[in-house]
Amino acid sequence: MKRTNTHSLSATRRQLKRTKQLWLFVLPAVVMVSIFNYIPMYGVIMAFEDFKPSLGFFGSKWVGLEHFVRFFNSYSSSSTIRNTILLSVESLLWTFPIPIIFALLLNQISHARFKRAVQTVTYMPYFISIVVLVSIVNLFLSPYRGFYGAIVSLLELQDPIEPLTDPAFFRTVYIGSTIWQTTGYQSIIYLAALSGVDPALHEAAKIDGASRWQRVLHIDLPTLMPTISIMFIMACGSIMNVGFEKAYLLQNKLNLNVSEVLQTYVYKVGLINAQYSFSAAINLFSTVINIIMLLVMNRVVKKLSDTSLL
Amino acid sequence: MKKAKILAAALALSMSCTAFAACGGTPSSGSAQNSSGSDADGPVKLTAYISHISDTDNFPMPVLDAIAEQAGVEIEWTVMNMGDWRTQKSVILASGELPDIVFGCAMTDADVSGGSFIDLTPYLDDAPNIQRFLEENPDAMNMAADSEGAIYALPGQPALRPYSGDVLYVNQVWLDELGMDVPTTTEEFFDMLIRFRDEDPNGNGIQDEIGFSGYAGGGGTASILSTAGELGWIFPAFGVVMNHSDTYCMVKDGVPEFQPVTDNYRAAVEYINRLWDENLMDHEFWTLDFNGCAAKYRSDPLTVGVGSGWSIGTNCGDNAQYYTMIEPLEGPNGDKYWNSSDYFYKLNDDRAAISTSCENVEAAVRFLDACYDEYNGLQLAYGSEGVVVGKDDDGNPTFLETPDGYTDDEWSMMNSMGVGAPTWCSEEFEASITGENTNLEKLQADEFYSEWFLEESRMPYITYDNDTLSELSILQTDINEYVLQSLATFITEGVTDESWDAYVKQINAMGLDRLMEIYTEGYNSVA
Amino acid sequence: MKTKRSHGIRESFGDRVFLFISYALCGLILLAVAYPLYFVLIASVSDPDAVNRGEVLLLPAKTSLDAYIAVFEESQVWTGYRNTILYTALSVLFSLCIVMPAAYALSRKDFPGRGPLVIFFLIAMYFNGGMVPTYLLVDSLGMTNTIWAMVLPSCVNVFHLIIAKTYFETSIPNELREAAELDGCTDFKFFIRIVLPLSKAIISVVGVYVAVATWNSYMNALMYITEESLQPLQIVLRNILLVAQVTSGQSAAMARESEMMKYALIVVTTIPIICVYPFVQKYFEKGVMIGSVKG
Repeated sequence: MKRTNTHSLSATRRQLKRTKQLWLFVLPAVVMVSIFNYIPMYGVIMAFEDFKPSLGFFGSKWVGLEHFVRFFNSYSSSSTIRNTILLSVESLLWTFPIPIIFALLLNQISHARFKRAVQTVTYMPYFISIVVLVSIVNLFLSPYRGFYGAIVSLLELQDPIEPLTDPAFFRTVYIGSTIWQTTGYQSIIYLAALSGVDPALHEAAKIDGASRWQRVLHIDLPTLMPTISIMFIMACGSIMNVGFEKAYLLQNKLNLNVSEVLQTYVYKVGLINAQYSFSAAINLFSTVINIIMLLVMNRVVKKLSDTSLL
Repeated sequence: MKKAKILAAALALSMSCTAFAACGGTPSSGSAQNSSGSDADGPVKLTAYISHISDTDNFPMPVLDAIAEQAGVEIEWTVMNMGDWRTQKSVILASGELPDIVFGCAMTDADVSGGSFIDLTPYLDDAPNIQRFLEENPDAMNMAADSEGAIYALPGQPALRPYSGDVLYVNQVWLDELGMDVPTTTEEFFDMLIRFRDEDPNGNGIQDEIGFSGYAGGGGTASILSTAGELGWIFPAFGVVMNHSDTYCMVKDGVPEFQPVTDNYRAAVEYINRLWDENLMDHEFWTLDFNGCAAKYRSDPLTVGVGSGWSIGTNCGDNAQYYTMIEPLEGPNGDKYWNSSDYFYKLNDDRAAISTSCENVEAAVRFLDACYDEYNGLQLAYGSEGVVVGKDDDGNPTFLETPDGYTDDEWSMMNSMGVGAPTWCSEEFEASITGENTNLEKLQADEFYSEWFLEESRMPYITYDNDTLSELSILQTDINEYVLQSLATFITEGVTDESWDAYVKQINAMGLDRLMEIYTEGYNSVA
Repeated sequence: MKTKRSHGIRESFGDRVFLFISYALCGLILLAVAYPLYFVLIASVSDPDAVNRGEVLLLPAKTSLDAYIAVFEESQVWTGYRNTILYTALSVLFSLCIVMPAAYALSRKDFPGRGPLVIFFLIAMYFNGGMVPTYLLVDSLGMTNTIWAMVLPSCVNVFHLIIAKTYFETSIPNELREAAELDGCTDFKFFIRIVLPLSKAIISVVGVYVAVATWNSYMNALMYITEESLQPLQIVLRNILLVAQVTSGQSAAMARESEMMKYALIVVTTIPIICVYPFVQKYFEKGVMIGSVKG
């Protein structure tokens, strides 16, 4: 039951009085964030300067939008931005729903030991470092050795698909390995949300003759919707954050036209001339895009469901 | 509602205001690391960062203590992680909390010219070793001095570094098996590889022979054209001698010429494409990293016919005994050359610098100068006296025997700073080193290939000023990456007139003219 | 817990198929995920060249414990373990104590600061001043080379804040709070006595997320810790790996050593944290909320 908000001072005062303890609840977090996130935020001006560490932030020369201009004028800017966005969007399309589906499936399992085993095992890949992950990917997907290699020679395939070098497969390999690595871990939050479902609801539904499928659709899924909505908005708000390491390691000279993303490009430029400002500018650009996505998606989700972030 | 908003905003604002006030200018409230006493009767105390130390249990190395004693200083060392130094560097430089000396930590011109380090030119008179180094090696002076002639950091030229990085070697066992001679031309090479592929020289009945392999994978920076283990050894046979330079240029008649758009380059690429099509080249070339590639060379039975790399042992390990080093191949036009460079392997830039927080610069300079003494330098780069290095009966420097269980290079790595050491070595000194050590063998290989070096084609080391560097970093990255990507496509799919023309056109459109302008200007300022 | 039969309701055919598919899919997923993990295990005891040639498929090749010996010979490894466990425990403690109450406050629709504070936190999450200013701050607070540098700067993760807030919004019914209020319960008491016990699931989730993030992190340590005795496990192991990698250009023997240790390092870093998970799993089981609200 929502309280009607009268704009009279006394009502506001009453409300503040009632909720004054909540301010204390929130105080430590606000203090920490103010100190550790807001104070250093002035560093953002690095994107508009020619930053030299020894001159500091206030001694380095101001150059305004020069870095942005240089980047957008360069040959690679459109392709790197495009690659980053395509990779990110496709990644989102696959890696977002799968942990949800997995959580729903796992929720059906009542055999406790099996369920725990599946959970623990699927949770483990998350801890494998990206370097080792890519090593494994290279070994497993090479048509000349290992697993795939054995199949190729057994079936005597001519011209086998080479997922590692074929640009058409770069995203598949990237996203596939991400799915393998993060599904179990990502499903934890959904499992936790599902645990809040009152089993009595399921019993009642069963008595009414609902099938498992219907119960998933009408009980489990709606329970998850708020979590799903928020997770989705947050994921969209990270659209430009394609990490450096994995793309860099899976890159090779044959798939550069799809595998060169913003972060790997910035890294290479930085090898020639330590470019703090340049990478700060690119990061700022990515942040702005992220925020726009966040706000747009928030609006969209708000219209479609009742939950929203803001 | 409004009150809360104002409250939150005020909170944030006041926080940032105090921050601005606190962080104006250079911070660093009393760095605990700056302790240099000017004790007249005791050694001067200095602090230093050092990196490239692989075995911290063995630290500090005896040679460092010896040098410190010679210079009358006492140094408090902090060992920085080699691999993460790049990340930590920016933070350390920005905080202004630098030690007196930064020793052997990889820095760039941009880092040292920012004002945190002192100009060493006025102190050179008190540093005879360093002075000799810079005078006798003009490339070193080039590297050291910035566009205004100031020297903020010293380069290093350790002993036993070669001009060329590659060594080319062929599977002798297979040659003997098939009764063939060592190939001398590109066509003979081609035919040999065909026979390797078809005639099962390792005798196991499976067609598992690989002509040659290399590693272009393991991350995007493999330059393929320049360094050992990749394809750099094929191009000189077609008159394309890029000499390990990132500019991909050759100097012809005093003018730098960009190779990847020339007809010679195209001929070389077409040749490699033939090798690819005939399955004479490892099709995993593009995704292998060093270890993946080396693993193939170490197989039993042998599976690879030809290799290139720093030395035969680098890739092959114990299988090195089955391979022989061969001369560069002669191309269809009679070109027979080998890549070499005055600085790529020999010189390392920005190896030692003295920060502005040092209070006793003379003492620091004394210390650095002692490091540039040749015998000290040998120890810094390869291992201390009595452990790795020593003097033989004639008083010449020599390598001691490596204890069992370690390879020569491993033993050196564990007991020294490796080739990142700030030091120098003259040619005479180098020639006088005796003993048996794989580090010496590299020089012998270098000597072998020196017959085919094309010295006049080498691009020198160029120092750019700040603005040019900003422009260059983007231009060079764009063009070089495109060249390499196209190289990969040409090799795997072949070259046609259309595709070649489109490629050249694209490079021109990307700003090749401007790039060449920068290179030529740089070349002229040095030459 | 097999409740189906006890109620005498038989599963329809469709239901049984669905159940079968669920089990089958989960089983397949188990295998698909398990095989590469098994591979890491056998690779860690195999000869690295054999691994790189793709010869290791189902069984290790040229088995040896060399990799593990090399890792544990590094004297720092045990200090690293100790430090990481300490940092992780402290991080979880601090994080939960700071984030949970804040998330609860933000979940209350009648909390006037809700709107602006969410924006406040989101801005903090997106706009990052970068490594250098953060370092300068930590340094000026005197926290470099202390435990606090590993725990405090990262203890408020806005993402965790948001998901906890969502959980509270959906799982703590308003009726519950109103009923408590009528009984004269303050927000504080309500939170401690009623909300927290009902939120075991989200506490576990956030706890796990924080623990894992801290366990895996090395950036903090890289920037703020130079003293060997304070370095966490990730840094120690990274050093081993990176040293060998960087020197591989000059020494093939060291390159081989780094390759050999790659897989063993994964096993060494991962085993402890994996052991923790099964203990928290039970908090995700069904029925946590039974009997909280009647009617």
